[in-house]
Amino acid sequence: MAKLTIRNVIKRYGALEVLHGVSVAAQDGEFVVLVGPSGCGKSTLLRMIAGLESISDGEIEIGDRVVNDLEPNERDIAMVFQTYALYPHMTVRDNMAFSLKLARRSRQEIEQKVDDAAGILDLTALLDRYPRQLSGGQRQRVAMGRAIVRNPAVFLFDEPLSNLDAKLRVQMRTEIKTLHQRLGTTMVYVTHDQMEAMTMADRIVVMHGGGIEQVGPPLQIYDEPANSFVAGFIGSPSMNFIDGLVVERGGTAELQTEEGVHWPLPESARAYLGQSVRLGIRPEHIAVGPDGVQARVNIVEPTGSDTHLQLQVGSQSIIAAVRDRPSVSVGQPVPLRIDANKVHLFDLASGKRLH
Amino acid sequence: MLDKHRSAITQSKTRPRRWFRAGEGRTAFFFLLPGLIGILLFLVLPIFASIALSFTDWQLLGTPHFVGFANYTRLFTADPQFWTVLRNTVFFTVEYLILNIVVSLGLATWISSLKFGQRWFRGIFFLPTFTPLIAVAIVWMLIFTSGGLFDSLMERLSLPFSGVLNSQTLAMQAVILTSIWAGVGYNTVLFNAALDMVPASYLEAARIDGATAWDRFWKIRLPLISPTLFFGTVMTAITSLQVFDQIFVMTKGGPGSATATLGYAIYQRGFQNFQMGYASAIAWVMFALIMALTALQFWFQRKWVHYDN
Amino acid sequence: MKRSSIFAAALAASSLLGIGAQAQDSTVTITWQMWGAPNDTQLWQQLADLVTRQYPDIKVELQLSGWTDYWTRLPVLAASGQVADIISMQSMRMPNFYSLLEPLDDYVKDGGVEVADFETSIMAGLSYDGRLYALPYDVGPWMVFYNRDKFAAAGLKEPAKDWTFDDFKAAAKALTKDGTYGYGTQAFDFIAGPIALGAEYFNADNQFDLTNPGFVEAFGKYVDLTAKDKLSPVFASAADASAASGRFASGNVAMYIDGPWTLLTAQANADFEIGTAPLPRGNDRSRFITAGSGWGISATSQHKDAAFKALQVLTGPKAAEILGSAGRALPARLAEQTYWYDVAAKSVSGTRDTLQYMFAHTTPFRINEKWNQFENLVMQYVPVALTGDTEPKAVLADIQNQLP
Repeated sequence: MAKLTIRNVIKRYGALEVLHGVSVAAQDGEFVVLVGPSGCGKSTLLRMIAGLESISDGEIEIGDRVVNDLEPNERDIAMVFQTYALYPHMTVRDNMAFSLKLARRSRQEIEQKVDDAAGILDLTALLDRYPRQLSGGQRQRVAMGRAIVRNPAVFLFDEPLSNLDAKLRVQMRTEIKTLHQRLGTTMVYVTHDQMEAMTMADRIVVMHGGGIEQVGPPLQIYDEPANSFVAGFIGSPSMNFIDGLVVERGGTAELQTEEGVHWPLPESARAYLGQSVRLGIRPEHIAVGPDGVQARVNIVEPTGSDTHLQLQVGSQSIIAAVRDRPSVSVGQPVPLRIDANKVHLFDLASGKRLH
Repeated sequence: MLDKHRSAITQSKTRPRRWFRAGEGRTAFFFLLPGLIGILLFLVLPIFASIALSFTDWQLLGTPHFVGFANYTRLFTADPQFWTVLRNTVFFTVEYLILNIVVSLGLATWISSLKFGQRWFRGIFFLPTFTPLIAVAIVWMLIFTSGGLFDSLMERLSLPFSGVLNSQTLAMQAVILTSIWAGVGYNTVLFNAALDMVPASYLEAARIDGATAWDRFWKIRLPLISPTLFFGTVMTAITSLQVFDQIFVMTKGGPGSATATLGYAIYQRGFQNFQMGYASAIAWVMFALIMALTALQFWFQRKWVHYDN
Repeated sequence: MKRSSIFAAALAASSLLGIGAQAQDSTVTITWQMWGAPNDTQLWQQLADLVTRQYPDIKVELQLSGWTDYWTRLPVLAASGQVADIISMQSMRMPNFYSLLEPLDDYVKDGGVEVADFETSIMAGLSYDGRLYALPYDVGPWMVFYNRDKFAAAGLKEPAKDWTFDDFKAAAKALTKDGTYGYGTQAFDFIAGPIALGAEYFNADNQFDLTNPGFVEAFGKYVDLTAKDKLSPVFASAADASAASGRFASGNVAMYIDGPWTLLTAQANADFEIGTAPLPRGNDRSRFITAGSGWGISATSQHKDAAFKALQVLTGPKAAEILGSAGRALPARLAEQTYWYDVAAKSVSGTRDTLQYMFAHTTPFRINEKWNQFENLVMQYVPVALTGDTEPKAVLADIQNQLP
């Protein structure tokens, strides 16, 4: 295990620059998740760490070595692919032993390492099967087993759970997290699913358009998003955004929308009187009644644990997530109360967080 | 009233279940008919006729007489040339097959490693496949003729090969060289397509696992294209056992019997010596040989060929 | 229902028309299979027109095909019943194909054809088992063609009519220099040559006996010209029978052996004076084999009488004059041979003397039904002897034991 340092890394394909000087560091033993929408450059960055893509500019260090010019197998990394990439013509045992055989290790050493890894991942019964005889989850575990036997300094995961069904995904999330706790190796995990990021990461790196938006522990990112992109990306259902002007009414700061709807703001918002801002409020911080902004119920989505209400205020859609099952029906007008202290304010032009 | 219903019900129960719905079967049959007639008339019937002929002594003019196994006995015991012909055919097949597969695989791998011009090279190497084999053989015969292009090239390189078509040891090599030139392109394109279909993620995983380019070729790419490799090998073996065009044009089985192969022997016996019955017997021996070789390859398939699903 | 009856009526009406038309027309069209290159068509068509000029109710339809294909196609066509009324036949193939032809002896007697008008050896050649199967149009022995300019340049005397093998060898030696050869060997030389030297390849039962000492020695003499003395280039097994004539025309070889049938092409391509001489003899007197071609009537023809009439014209004096003057054939008709000597071959020296000498010394050309195989085996195996790889005796033994 070792720390991973990415310093000002740029990636260009010809004249097109897809990564604009990103820098981030993972501590030894940390579980770092790179998350972002498609095309943000997270997979490219991961492949550059692995050595499958060249580095146009900047440095990547694993441990204390600069690995820019090293071959993938010299970097002391292991990778789990989205499509598992298990060699179809080899048994599970041979798949896992492949890298060790290439490194000319002794037969006993190979056997032992493979058996150990199989034990950790509960694959012992499957060692003589072929990948085509395994289920998706089993294949994923074999892919992880293949990575484990290498005992790498850094584990790389490239969206490993995207091909699994929802239930299996939840199960595998836990398994990967357990593995991390057991092995304690530095892990870099790429995903587009913010739920995976939230549940698994020690720190999340939110990426967008070839750059890093914010780095931090999950709850920090959740509670204090640095800009409206991060705020809207993290959290499901997404944060509601309402644009308007900061005005004062009756001694309190309020947001006035174009349609004349007034939303409550915290005391600190007074500093931005007269500015056009974007208000962000998470669905779970919106309550129904007894008073508040008038809204109309469009859709009611009960999930069992809570109810998502899609509401309409003027031309604005709002989503509220309420705990106790409210007896509302479609078309019914309901008052909405928001917790002013949970409001986030962002500059309308730049999207940056206003404190 | 009830009886009528009852009989209708029992009737529908006892009517046999049809494979297709009635109209579909007939329509399918009519669509198949042209191809079916063609296959029957030009494939199945001649095959049976040929088997029948091999038991006669038909001389093309006159009526055939049944002679039982006489043709086959003569072939295996009394024909002085048969074992030479058989040996030549097997020799040609083995050497040609190995060279063809190795060269085409090498070319295919090289083409897939190119950054530019892949399509251009594929086209270039595939061109000989379009050319009729007879035309190719004629040109190569002119090249190999004593005093021709090949001889002057060898002279310039100070190599001791000349007049290869007149040499009992080298004539076959000249035929094999011509065949390779003509036949390699098809397999090259075939194997190249297969190589390109190997998902990149396997090769990336192999790179991470520490496989060099050599390792990646032998341990990952080759096993993964083995179904296509198998197909190419079987087809090439089958056609090379039947080699005729090049022999007919370049050497006519000579010098001596150096290049007499089964295919040529069939033509010679049947159309030059007018021994149709005997020629049919040789044809069926060739068939048996091809079957045996193909069965052997299928047996190897179990160990060496990896299928994905 | 209505549509099909209209259709049937139309079909009947049109066939009636056909029958009516046929009743008026009494011309017989007979088909004629011949080999040749496309630019021979005009010549053969001329002959076909001669028939119609003489017999206006007989029309001859020419079917031309290539020489090599002709012999492969003939049995196939015969087996499928599509053979023509008049079939072209070569004397060396007669034993294989006589069964396709109608014996002509009765027709000849009834038609008043004068057998003595034709050269005797070819009449024998086109017969089988004592019966005549075709009337000949050309005949010729295998003879030596030589480059007169080269002979003069080397200070050699031109060959005498009864020159021996040693004379021939000496001339070839003197003419082999500076990359050109004195002699261009071809496959048939090894059949015609040894016979001229007095050897036999058949035994008394008319079966092949190639390993008798006489034949081995004569065969070996010709082989050594190439293998030991290097007086000729080696021909490959796949080379066709005319490999040497091309080299002769280009000046690469000074002498080669072939028949009068090759004269037309040799003349066209050569820019030097061509001379002719008989094949060299051994210690005994000269003897030469001839071959030729003619036309017979298919045994399954529906128009045999008309076909024979046409045959008479095709092998008649006028046709022979046309063929002889064009140089396409040395006519089998003795009287018309002069057209070949004096018209077509007038720039070649000594043809009349040489050929008349050879015709006066013919020996029967003995062949059997395995002749075709024998010729092919010679093509296949002789090159091995020519490179010196194998002894002539072994090569002959190889050929012998592959003949069924």
